Amino acid sequence: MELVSERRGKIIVIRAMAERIDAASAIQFKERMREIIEIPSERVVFDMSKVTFLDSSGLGAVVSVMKSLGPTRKLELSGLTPTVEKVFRLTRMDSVFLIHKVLPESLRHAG
Amino acid sequence: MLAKRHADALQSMETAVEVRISIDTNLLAVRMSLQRLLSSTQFAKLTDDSKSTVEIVLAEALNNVVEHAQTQPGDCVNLIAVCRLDTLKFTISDNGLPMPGSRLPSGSLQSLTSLPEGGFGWFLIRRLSHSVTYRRVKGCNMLSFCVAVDYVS
Repeated sequence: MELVSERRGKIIVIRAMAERIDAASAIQFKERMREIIEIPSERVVFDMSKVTFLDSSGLGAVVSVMKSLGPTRKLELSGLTPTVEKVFRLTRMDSVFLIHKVLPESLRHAG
Repeated sequence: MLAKRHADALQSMETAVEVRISIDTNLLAVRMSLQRLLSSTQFAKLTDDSKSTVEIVLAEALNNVVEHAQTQPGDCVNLIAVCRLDTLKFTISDNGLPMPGSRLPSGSLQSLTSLPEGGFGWFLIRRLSHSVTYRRVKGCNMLSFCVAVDYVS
């Protein structure tokens, strides 16, 4: 589960390099994300544009990462592909996260 | 009337395509089998939306077996897919533990305010499929469900 992270000012941008966040990779994903978000920042943006498949375990892992951010930081998501968007929409989890259609211009050079 | 229904049923059986696969009961094997199945000729003409629906439902159902049925090393979970016009019928069987209470989970979604990290799997299966049935037959779990699909024209 490769994740590339970059700090840009007060923002950490994390890009998933794997195509799947599923039951087989969810635990590893969670652990790697938790290591990365230990770095203090104001915002955490997770670029999911390379992720073509996410199942309920993957969704649970993303929610868990958001909870580990604590009350002051929110996990922002970006670039949801159709299948990933479908899982977020059906479970109504799209209302819990701040979702950017694409990575904001100023953050596009991570990775 | 009866003869016509019989003829229709026969024709429908003739056009049905059946695919059977056995999958090792581990999560990576499920992932690889799904990727292979969805890129096979039988599924190649599904729209992207239908493909993703099928992949989500199958991943949830198969991963449930791997994670909860406590099968023995070397055991397999079997998947039968019957493709008939715009409905795909799937039957999944395994020789693991029965479903809790020998019935299917309701699949209702918990309140989002508590930020649940689980309980989405059966919700997604029920939301994206229909005619879901579960039986325990001779020590095996038999789960079947149908998914309505569209094909690329």
